[in-house]
Amino acid sequence: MISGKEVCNSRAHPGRHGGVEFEDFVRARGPALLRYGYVLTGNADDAADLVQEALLRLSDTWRRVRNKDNPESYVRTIMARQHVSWWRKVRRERLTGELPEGSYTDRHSTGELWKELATLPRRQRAVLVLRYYEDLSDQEIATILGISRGTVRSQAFRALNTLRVRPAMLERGRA
Amino acid sequence: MRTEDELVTALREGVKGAPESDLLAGVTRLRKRRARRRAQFLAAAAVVAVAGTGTAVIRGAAVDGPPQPQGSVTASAEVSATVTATVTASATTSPESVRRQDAVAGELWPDAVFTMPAENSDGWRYRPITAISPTEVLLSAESSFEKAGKFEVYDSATGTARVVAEVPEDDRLKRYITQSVTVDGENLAWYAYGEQADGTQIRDIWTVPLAGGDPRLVTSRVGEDADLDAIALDGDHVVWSEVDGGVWRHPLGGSTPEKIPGSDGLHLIKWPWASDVADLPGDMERSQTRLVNLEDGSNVSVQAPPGVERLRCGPVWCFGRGSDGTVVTRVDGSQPPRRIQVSSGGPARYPILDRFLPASMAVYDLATGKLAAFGGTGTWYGMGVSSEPSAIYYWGATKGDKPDKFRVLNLAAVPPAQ
Repeated sequence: MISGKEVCNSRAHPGRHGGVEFEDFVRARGPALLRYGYVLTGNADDAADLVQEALLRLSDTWRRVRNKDNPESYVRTIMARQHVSWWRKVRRERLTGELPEGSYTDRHSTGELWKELATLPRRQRAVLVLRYYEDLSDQEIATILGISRGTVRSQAFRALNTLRVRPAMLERGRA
Repeated sequence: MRTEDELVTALREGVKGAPESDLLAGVTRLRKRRARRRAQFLAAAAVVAVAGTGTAVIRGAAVDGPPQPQGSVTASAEVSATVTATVTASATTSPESVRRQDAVAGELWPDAVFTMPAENSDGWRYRPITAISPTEVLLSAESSFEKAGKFEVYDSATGTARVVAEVPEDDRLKRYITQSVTVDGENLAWYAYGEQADGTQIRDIWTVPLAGGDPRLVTSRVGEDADLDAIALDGDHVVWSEVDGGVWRHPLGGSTPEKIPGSDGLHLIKWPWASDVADLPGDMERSQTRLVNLEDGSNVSVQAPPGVERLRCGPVWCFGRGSDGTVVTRVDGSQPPRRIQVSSGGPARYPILDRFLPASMAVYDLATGKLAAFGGTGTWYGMGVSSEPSAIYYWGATKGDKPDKFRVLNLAAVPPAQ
């Protein structure tokens, strides 16, 4: 996959991300962000909403972020935090076509587990996604979600317990 | 019970149901709607304010919402084309497949696995950091939960621990936590996070001789320079990289840091090696493209084989995620990519000691192709928490989360491959 950084580097002057426009970033990284939104929320509409909210915030600070930070990491951090802290029950105007939920689950043996993920509280799900999908260490997860490393661990433990997943790794450093 | 691997698979399979959406159109619509609502809200507020001040008109004029980005639409064509090309190419990989061979680490490498106490003489829990030698392990002993109180070294040959230093605290700072530790044969260095009274972040970089002594504050980084992502030692310098990229060095006895020339955009792996990818959210799909030796300035370009994501290379080996397991290549290209039937367990950043890959409750030896399972009776294991890839894995010698003793695998004690 092409990365945000590669996109940025392709026309990088003067800064690392200099010269990259917001639209280019969204076009290049949008599908990956939607996948991330989907794994966080488990729902196609919520995924699109979450990404768009985060992108709206990114666009407001684009000039600053593109030159200094890693825009993708910035968006993903916003998405994880937003997903945990904030959710609108009232559905706004639909921006995507409806996808049949669970269309994949019937075809895969792990589909049942995917369905059960939907039963977790949002923070627990976010911790699992950051740990097992984003492969981040507990310390990094703690920094992103603004909680302690111990809370990361206890949230993960509870979530794994609910899903009947045997927790193998209690401590996740940087390897 | 299910395994963590099944959870990883469920997430990766589940995400295939992700939607497609015109995000730019969505963001534009969202912005307009926000601006409209904001205008309505401010207009309503203005009605109230008008009676008293008369400034409402000016405020009312300022409700156009955030500035619209003025992007160049035509320039994006090349970006989209690249994405398509990359995705298409992914179907063509057929790396040579390698079968896993299970063995128990303690039987495969008897000299590398030992038992040690899980608490120090104060009754503080140990948290292993990394190996210093085939028999010595650096530990932090925690006076309270996740608060490093002392650094100690445990020697498995003598079965004794010694204190290197007490970890200093800074009462003027809030949330002061030791964050990341590195060690070479001579010294120990770490950085601590703190928050100043005005809320700005500060990172203190400390060092102490491994032989023991009083920790010395090398430097404090504040504001924009405070986001560190790795730390290392280079003889008489302490070296660190920033989250935004860029590597700095500071003489242990000096007072001024300097940015290492040519280190823009780089992140330390383990001195002197640096990579062009950070450890940040979103890295899963990003592949490393450069491996730089900051000591001699040499720069190796690395490229993920088609269909492989998240390539990570140390000086010898690269590994990444293929559609069907982990794919391993050599940096010098001397072997074709091969697929190994192990799933990476945990945040696998870079090969450990240029030889090992973390797997789920096991470690994979790239030199011999053997998979060494931890075994044991416990249901958890831990990985050392050093800044560089840690050479230490540990698990409970007995069941439960707080065993009296740890079983420790010291990868620095694994004999060279025959």
